[in-house]
Amino acid sequence: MKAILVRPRFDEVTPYTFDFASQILQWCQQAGISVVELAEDNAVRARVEAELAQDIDLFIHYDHGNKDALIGQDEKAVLDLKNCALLADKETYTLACLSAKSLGVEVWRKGGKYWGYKEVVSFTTDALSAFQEAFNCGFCYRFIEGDSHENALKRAKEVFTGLSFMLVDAGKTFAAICMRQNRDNLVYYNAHKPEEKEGCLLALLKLPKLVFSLKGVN
Amino acid sequence: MASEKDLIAEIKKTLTGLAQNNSSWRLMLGMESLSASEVIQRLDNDKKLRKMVVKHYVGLAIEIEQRGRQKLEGNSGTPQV
Repeated sequence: MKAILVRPRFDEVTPYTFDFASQILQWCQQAGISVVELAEDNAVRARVEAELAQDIDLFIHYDHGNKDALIGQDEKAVLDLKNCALLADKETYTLACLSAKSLGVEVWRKGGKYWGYKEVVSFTTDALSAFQEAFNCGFCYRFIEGDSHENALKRAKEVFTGLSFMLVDAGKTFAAICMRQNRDNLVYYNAHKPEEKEGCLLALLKLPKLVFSLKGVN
Repeated sequence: MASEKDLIAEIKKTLTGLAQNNSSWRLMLGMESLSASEVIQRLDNDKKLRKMVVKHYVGLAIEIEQRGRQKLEGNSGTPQV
Protein backbone atom coordinates (compact mmCIF):
# COMPACT_ATOMS: atom_id res chain seq x y z
CA MET A 1 0.00 0.00 0.00
CA LYS A 2 1.20 3.53 -0.84
CA ALA A 3 0.07 6.64 1.01
CA ILE A 4 0.47 10.41 1.02
CA LEU A 5 0.49 12.25 4.34
CA VAL A 6 -0.20 15.98 4.09
CA ARG A 7 0.39 17.94 7.29
CA PRO A 8 0.78 21.71 7.25
CA ARG A 9 1.88 23.64 10.34
CA PHE A 10 1.20 27.37 10.30
CA ASP A 11 -1.05 28.60 13.14
CA GLU A 12 -1.87 27.88 16.79
CA VAL A 13 -3.89 24.74 16.00
CA THR A 14 -1.79 22.91 13.40
CA PRO A 15 1.26 22.22 15.62
CA TYR A 16 -1.02 19.92 17.64
CA THR A 17 -2.49 18.14 14.63
CA PHE A 18 0.98 17.93 13.08
CA ASP A 19 2.04 15.99 16.19
CA PHE A 20 -1.10 13.80 16.10
CA ALA A 21 -0.13 12.81 12.55
CA SER A 22 3.34 11.70 13.70
CA GLN A 23 1.74 8.60 15.22
CA ILE A 24 0.07 7.80 11.89
CA LEU A 25 3.43 8.12 10.15
CA GLN A 26 5.07 5.84 12.73
CA TRP A 27 2.34 3.20 12.36
CA CYS A 28 2.70 3.27 8.57
CA GLN A 29 6.46 2.80 8.80
CA GLN A 30 6.03 -0.12 11.20
CA ALA A 31 3.35 -1.74 9.02
CA GLY A 32 5.35 -1.38 5.80
CA ILE A 33 3.02 1.20 4.25
CA SER A 34 5.09 3.39 1.93
CA VAL A 35 4.41 7.05 2.78
CA VAL A 36 5.19 10.21 0.84
CA GLU A 37 5.18 12.92 3.50
CA LEU A 38 4.18 16.40 2.34
CA ALA A 39 4.80 18.48 5.47
CA GLU A 40 4.78 22.25 5.97
CA ASP A 41 6.10 24.00 2.82
CA ASN A 42 5.54 20.83 0.77
CA ALA A 43 1.89 20.68 1.81
CA VAL A 44 0.65 22.68 -1.17
CA ARG A 45 -1.71 21.98 -4.05
CA ALA A 46 0.88 21.46 -6.82
CA ARG A 47 2.81 18.89 -4.79
CA VAL A 48 -0.37 17.09 -3.71
CA GLU A 49 -1.69 16.91 -7.27
CA ALA A 50 1.66 15.65 -8.58
CA GLU A 51 1.86 12.91 -5.95
CA LEU A 52 -1.78 11.87 -6.36
CA ALA A 53 -1.17 11.37 -10.07
CA GLN A 54 1.18 8.51 -9.08
CA ASP A 55 0.04 5.08 -7.95
CA ILE A 56 -1.38 6.02 -4.53
CA ASP A 57 -3.93 4.05 -2.48
CA LEU A 58 -4.41 6.25 0.56
CA PHE A 59 -4.55 10.02 1.11
CA ILE A 60 -4.08 11.28 4.69
CA HIS A 61 -4.62 14.94 5.59
CA TYR A 62 -4.09 16.55 9.02
CA ASP A 63 -5.59 19.32 9.32
CA HIS A 64 -7.72 22.41 8.50
CA GLY A 65 -10.58 22.24 6.07
CA ASN A 66 -13.98 23.56 5.18
CA LYS A 67 -17.01 21.94 3.60
CA ASP A 68 -15.53 22.10 0.10
CA ALA A 69 -11.77 21.85 0.66
CA LEU A 70 -8.73 20.55 2.52
CA ILE A 71 -6.26 23.33 3.34
CA GLY A 72 -2.49 23.41 2.82
CA GLN A 73 0.48 25.31 4.23
CA ASP A 74 -0.31 28.45 2.18
CA GLU A 75 -3.86 28.40 3.63
CA LYS A 76 -5.19 27.59 0.16
CA ALA A 77 -6.97 24.41 -0.88
CA VAL A 78 -4.81 21.42 -1.67
CA LEU A 79 -7.96 19.54 -2.63
CA ASP A 80 -11.38 20.92 -3.42
CA LEU A 81 -14.38 20.20 -5.61
CA LYS A 82 -12.35 21.05 -8.74
CA ASN A 83 -9.58 18.47 -8.31
CA CYS A 84 -11.21 15.91 -6.01
CA ALA A 85 -11.47 13.41 -8.87
CA LEU A 86 -7.85 12.67 -7.92
CA LEU A 87 -9.29 10.88 -4.86
CA ALA A 88 -11.60 8.63 -6.88
CA ASP A 89 -10.96 4.95 -6.09
CA LYS A 90 -8.71 5.96 -3.18
CA GLU A 91 -9.12 5.97 0.58
CA THR A 92 -9.04 9.37 2.30
CA TYR A 93 -8.45 9.77 6.03
CA THR A 94 -8.67 13.33 7.35
CA LEU A 95 -9.08 15.22 10.60
CA ALA A 96 -10.15 18.41 8.81
CA CYS A 97 -13.21 20.31 9.94
CA LEU A 98 -16.40 20.13 7.89
CA SER A 99 -14.91 18.49 4.82
CA ALA A 100 -17.21 15.45 4.91
CA LYS A 101 -20.15 17.77 4.44
CA SER A 102 -19.57 18.42 0.75
CA LEU A 103 -16.07 17.41 -0.41
CA GLY A 104 -16.36 13.96 1.17
CA VAL A 105 -19.72 13.36 -0.48
CA GLU A 106 -18.29 14.36 -3.86
CA VAL A 107 -15.29 12.05 -3.39
CA TRP A 108 -17.68 9.24 -2.45
CA ARG A 109 -19.77 9.91 -5.58
CA LYS A 110 -16.60 9.51 -7.63
CA GLY A 111 -15.90 6.12 -6.10
CA GLY A 112 -13.57 7.15 -3.26
CA LYS A 113 -13.88 6.27 0.41
CA TYR A 114 -13.81 9.15 2.86
CA TRP A 115 -13.13 9.25 6.61
CA GLY A 116 -13.85 12.76 7.90
CA TYR A 117 -15.96 15.15 9.96
CA LYS A 118 -19.20 16.90 8.98
CA GLU A 119 -18.81 19.81 11.41
CA VAL A 120 -16.07 21.79 13.15
CA VAL A 121 -13.56 19.57 14.97
CA SER A 122 -12.61 20.68 18.48
CA PHE A 123 -10.22 19.61 21.21
CA THR A 124 -8.78 20.96 24.43
CA THR A 125 -5.15 21.10 25.49
CA ASP A 126 -5.78 19.38 28.84
CA ALA A 127 -6.50 16.06 27.11
CA LEU A 128 -4.24 15.92 24.07
CA SER A 129 -3.33 12.24 24.39
CA ALA A 130 -7.02 11.28 24.57
CA PHE A 131 -7.82 13.33 21.47
CA GLN A 132 -4.85 11.87 19.60
CA GLU A 133 -6.09 8.39 20.47
CA ALA A 134 -9.61 9.21 19.27
CA PHE A 135 -8.55 10.93 16.04
CA ASN A 136 -6.05 8.21 15.08
CA CYS A 137 -7.65 4.96 16.23
CA GLY A 138 -9.79 4.56 13.13
CA PHE A 139 -6.67 4.62 11.00
CA CYS A 140 -5.19 1.81 13.06
CA TYR A 141 -8.36 -0.31 12.84
CA ARG A 142 -8.78 0.14 9.08
CA PHE A 143 -5.27 0.33 7.66
CA ILE A 144 -3.01 -1.35 10.21
CA GLU A 145 -5.33 -4.09 11.47
CA GLY A 146 -7.23 -4.32 8.17
CA ASP A 147 -10.71 -4.25 9.73
CA SER A 148 -13.74 -3.51 7.52
CA HIS A 149 -15.00 0.04 6.89
CA GLU A 150 -18.07 -0.58 9.03
CA ASN A 151 -16.18 -2.12 11.95
CA ALA A 152 -13.44 0.52 11.89
CA LEU A 153 -16.03 3.28 12.19
CA LYS A 154 -18.04 1.44 14.86
CA ARG A 155 -14.95 0.70 16.94
CA ALA A 156 -13.66 4.26 16.60
CA LYS A 157 -16.97 5.69 17.78
CA GLU A 158 -16.83 3.36 20.79
CA VAL A 159 -13.36 4.73 21.57
CA PHE A 160 -14.68 8.32 21.42
CA THR A 161 -17.51 7.32 23.79
CA GLY A 162 -15.21 5.54 26.23
CA LEU A 163 -12.80 8.48 26.25
CA SER A 164 -15.63 10.96 26.87
CA PHE A 165 -16.63 8.95 29.99
CA MET A 166 -13.00 8.85 31.10
CA LEU A 167 -12.73 12.63 30.68
CA VAL A 168 -15.88 13.19 32.74
CA ASP A 169 -14.43 10.99 35.49
CA ALA A 170 -11.22 13.07 35.34
CA GLY A 171 -13.22 16.29 35.76
CA LYS A 172 -12.46 17.42 32.20
CA THR A 173 -16.04 18.03 31.17
CA PHE A 174 -15.32 20.50 28.39
CA ALA A 175 -12.93 18.00 26.80
CA ALA A 176 -15.66 15.35 27.12
CA ILE A 177 -18.13 17.65 25.35
CA CYS A 178 -15.67 18.14 22.46
CA MET A 179 -14.99 14.39 22.31
CA ARG A 180 -18.70 13.63 22.02
CA GLN A 181 -19.25 16.31 19.39
CA ASN A 182 -16.38 14.94 17.28
CA ARG A 183 -17.80 11.42 17.60
CA ASP A 184 -21.20 12.50 16.35
CA ASN A 185 -19.71 14.33 13.36
CA LEU A 186 -17.39 11.53 12.29
CA VAL A 187 -18.41 9.72 9.10
CA TYR A 188 -16.91 7.09 6.84
CA TYR A 189 -18.26 6.99 3.32
CA ASN A 190 -18.54 4.10 2.30
CA ALA A 191 -19.15 2.41 5.60
CA HIS A 192 -22.47 4.22 5.18
CA LYS A 193 -23.94 6.51 2.54
CA PRO A 194 -24.02 10.28 3.02
CA GLU A 195 -27.35 11.49 4.36
CA GLU A 196 -29.37 12.50 1.34
CA LYS A 197 -31.27 15.74 1.47
CA GLU A 198 -34.38 15.06 -0.52
CA GLY A 199 -35.88 18.03 -2.28
CA CYS A 200 -39.45 18.09 -3.55
CA LEU A 201 -38.38 17.14 -7.07
CA LEU A 202 -36.51 14.05 -5.92
CA ALA A 203 -39.45 13.00 -3.76
CA LEU A 204 -41.78 13.40 -6.77
CA LEU A 205 -39.48 11.29 -8.91
CA LYS A 206 -39.66 8.54 -6.31
CA LEU A 207 -43.46 8.72 -6.02
CA PRO A 208 -44.31 6.22 -8.82
CA LYS A 209 -41.99 3.65 -7.22
CA LEU A 210 -43.68 4.22 -3.85
CA VAL A 211 -47.19 3.85 -5.33
CA PHE A 212 -46.11 0.69 -7.16
CA SER A 213 -44.67 -0.83 -3.99
CA LEU A 214 -47.85 -0.01 -2.03
CA LYS A 215 -49.97 -1.69 -4.75
CA GLY A 216 -47.74 -4.71 -4.37
CA VAL A 217 -48.49 -4.80 -0.62
CA ASN A 218 -52.24 -4.66 -1.23
CA MET B 1 -35.14 21.56 38.06
CA ALA B 2 -31.94 22.85 36.49
CA SER B 3 -32.36 24.98 33.39
CA GLU B 4 -30.04 25.61 30.45
CA LYS B 5 -29.07 28.86 32.19
CA ASP B 6 -28.03 26.94 35.35
CA LEU B 7 -26.03 24.48 33.26
CA ILE B 8 -24.14 27.21 31.42
CA ALA B 9 -23.49 28.93 34.76
CA GLU B 10 -21.91 25.73 36.13
CA ILE B 11 -19.78 25.26 33.01
CA LYS B 12 -18.63 28.87 33.32
CA LYS B 13 -17.58 28.18 36.93
CA THR B 14 -15.43 25.28 35.72
CA LEU B 15 -13.95 27.46 32.98
CA THR B 16 -13.27 30.23 35.51
CA GLY B 17 -11.35 27.71 37.62
CA LEU B 18 -9.36 26.71 34.53
CA ALA B 19 -8.61 30.34 33.72
CA GLN B 20 -7.26 30.84 37.25
CA ASN B 21 -5.39 27.56 37.73
CA ASN B 22 -4.35 26.46 34.25
CA SER B 23 -3.57 29.53 32.18
CA SER B 24 -2.20 27.41 29.34
CA TRP B 25 -5.60 25.70 28.80
CA ARG B 26 -6.95 26.28 25.29
CA LEU B 27 -9.95 25.17 23.32
CA MET B 28 -9.08 24.51 19.68
CA LEU B 29 -12.30 25.13 17.81
CA GLY B 30 -11.71 24.73 14.11
CA MET B 31 -9.12 27.36 13.20
CA GLU B 32 -9.58 29.24 16.49
CA SER B 33 -7.57 28.89 19.67
CA LEU B 34 -9.52 30.17 22.69
CA SER B 35 -8.49 30.64 26.33
CA ALA B 36 -10.93 29.69 29.10
CA SER B 37 -11.83 33.37 29.57
CA GLU B 38 -12.54 33.72 25.86
CA VAL B 39 -14.77 30.62 25.93
CA ILE B 40 -16.74 32.14 28.83
CA GLN B 41 -17.33 35.28 26.77
CA ARG B 42 -18.25 33.25 23.71
CA LEU B 43 -20.84 31.33 25.71
CA ASP B 44 -22.62 34.64 26.28
CA ASN B 45 -22.51 35.81 22.69
CA ASP B 46 -22.28 32.73 20.46
CA LYS B 47 -25.63 30.91 20.34
CA LYS B 48 -24.23 28.09 18.20
CA LEU B 49 -21.45 27.32 20.68
CA ARG B 50 -23.86 27.49 23.63
CA LYS B 51 -26.28 25.15 21.86
CA MET B 52 -23.46 22.69 21.08
CA VAL B 53 -22.22 22.70 24.68
CA VAL B 54 -25.69 22.16 26.16
CA LYS B 55 -26.56 19.46 23.60
CA HIS B 56 -23.46 17.40 24.34
CA TYR B 57 -23.52 18.01 28.09
CA VAL B 58 -27.07 16.63 28.24
CA GLY B 59 -26.12 13.85 25.81
CA LEU B 60 -23.23 12.86 28.06
CA ALA B 61 -25.53 12.77 31.09
CA ILE B 62 -27.91 10.46 29.23
CA GLU B 63 -25.09 8.13 28.14
CA ILE B 64 -23.64 8.04 31.67
CA GLU B 65 -27.08 7.03 32.99
CA GLN B 66 -27.37 4.34 30.28
CA ARG B 67 -23.91 3.05 31.14
CA GLY B 68 -24.84 2.88 34.82
CA ARG B 69 -28.02 0.96 34.06
CA GLN B 70 -26.15 -1.48 31.81
CA LYS B 71 -23.64 -2.08 34.59
CA LEU B 72 -26.46 -2.78 37.04
CA GLU B 73 -28.20 -5.12 34.62
CA GLY B 74 -24.92 -6.86 33.90
CA ASN B 75 -24.36 -7.46 37.60
CA SER B 76 -27.88 -8.65 38.35
CA GLY B 77 -27.65 -11.97 36.48
CA THR B 78 -27.54 -15.24 38.41
CA PRO B 79 -23.96 -16.52 38.52
CA GLN B 80 -23.49 -19.73 36.59
CA VAL B 81 -22.36 -22.69 38.67
